Amino acid sequence: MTAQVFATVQRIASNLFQVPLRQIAPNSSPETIQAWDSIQQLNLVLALEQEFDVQFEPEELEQIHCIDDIVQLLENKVRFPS
Amino acid sequence: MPITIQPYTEDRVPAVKDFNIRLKRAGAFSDFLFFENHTPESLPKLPGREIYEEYFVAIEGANVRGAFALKHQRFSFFGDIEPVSFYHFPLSEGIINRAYINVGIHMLRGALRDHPVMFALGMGGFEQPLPRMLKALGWSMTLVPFYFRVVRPFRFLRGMAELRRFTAGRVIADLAAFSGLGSLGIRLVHAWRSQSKTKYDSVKAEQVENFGIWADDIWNSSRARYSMIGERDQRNLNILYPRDSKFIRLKITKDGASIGWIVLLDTQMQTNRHFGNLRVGSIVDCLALPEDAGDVIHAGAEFLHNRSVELIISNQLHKAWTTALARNGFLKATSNCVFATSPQLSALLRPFEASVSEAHLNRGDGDGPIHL
Repeated sequence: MTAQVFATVQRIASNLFQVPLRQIAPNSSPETIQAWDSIQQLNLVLALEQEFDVQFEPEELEQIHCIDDIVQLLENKVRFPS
Repeated sequence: MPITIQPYTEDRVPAVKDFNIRLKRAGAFSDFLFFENHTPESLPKLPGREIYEEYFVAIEGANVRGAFALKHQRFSFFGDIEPVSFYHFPLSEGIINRAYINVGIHMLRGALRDHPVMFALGMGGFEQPLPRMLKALGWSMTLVPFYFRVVRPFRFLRGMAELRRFTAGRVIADLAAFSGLGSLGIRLVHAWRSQSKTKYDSVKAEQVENFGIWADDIWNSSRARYSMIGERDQRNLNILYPRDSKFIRLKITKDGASIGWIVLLDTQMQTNRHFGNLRVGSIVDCLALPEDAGDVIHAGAEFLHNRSVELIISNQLHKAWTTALARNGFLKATSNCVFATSPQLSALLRPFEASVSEAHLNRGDGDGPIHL
């Protein structure tokens, strides 16, 4: 399921940060993507919550440092059909 | 290491000082440093008090990575009382270190989870980071209009820092001041704006040391006339504008009956970034029935005029009070004072767009008349 979640996160992040899809890698972070500031971080969180129908707790937001952190967090939060 | 939001206690003061040092080293303005005293000075939490302030810090290990303040106060919504929180002074290490860009969202969402009926006020305009964040979270927003009346045109043209920021502005202001055209123009505009057949002969202002039972009468008779208004009974007013403070408290009567009150400031500015060295009168707060707003504004403005202030300013949201300012010769200028309400607070205004101009909000709300 990780690949599918990653692909969705990659698409949302690419649209939001207006960078090509290939520039969004698992280790992409605010350090590597110029447009990823605090406002875009919030927009990313809100877009992911809508897409995956989840709500991140304030404490969970602190675990997000790169794209892979988001994927792991979503894997744990979302119950995907088997 | 996880970041947690905790109350700001005395043992965190050294970590807040370190946080401020890191912000300062990165070039933060002194306005953007957090309080180095863990107890709010003006509104501490005391037994039985329903208006108080609390500070919180975002802690990572022994380090502070962010901080914010909440002011708790009861508000009336169409006459019904609800507790409301005011979110302010959020500071995040994320402004200087991208590793902490989550801190601002964490603090805001954490505060909102515990206090869903919340508003923010001021913030410097829609384009600033906090209003942009609030907008993304679905908050409703409007600007609180800013009004001013020039009392001493020559001094205003020569001293208003905002007008004189650029060379062209300085030259034009000086030409207008020394030719006398500026004074003439300003007086004409104010006279034209204040043309009104209203007679104020029976309106009197009495300076008082504190708010008495008459203030409760005004509060009880007027609160249901506003869609939203912070509790302004005598108890809260004497906390907000205490005796022996810099505030000027006026009781306004008409034909001998108390119709309202107004709180003023008379401040000699010192190299202020907006007002230079002008002597500025401020209409900080006021209350009356909406139909009596004109009488109250007139009395307050006259009082400040007679004290020889050079400029009078006010931020007011309610349409009766903005109309009252306009009819008393005040001009509207660009405002950067944003009023933002959380979705749960917006729901109490049912609907926000229609009711917000009937909310009574001014410099007495939020963090009060700071910088004045």
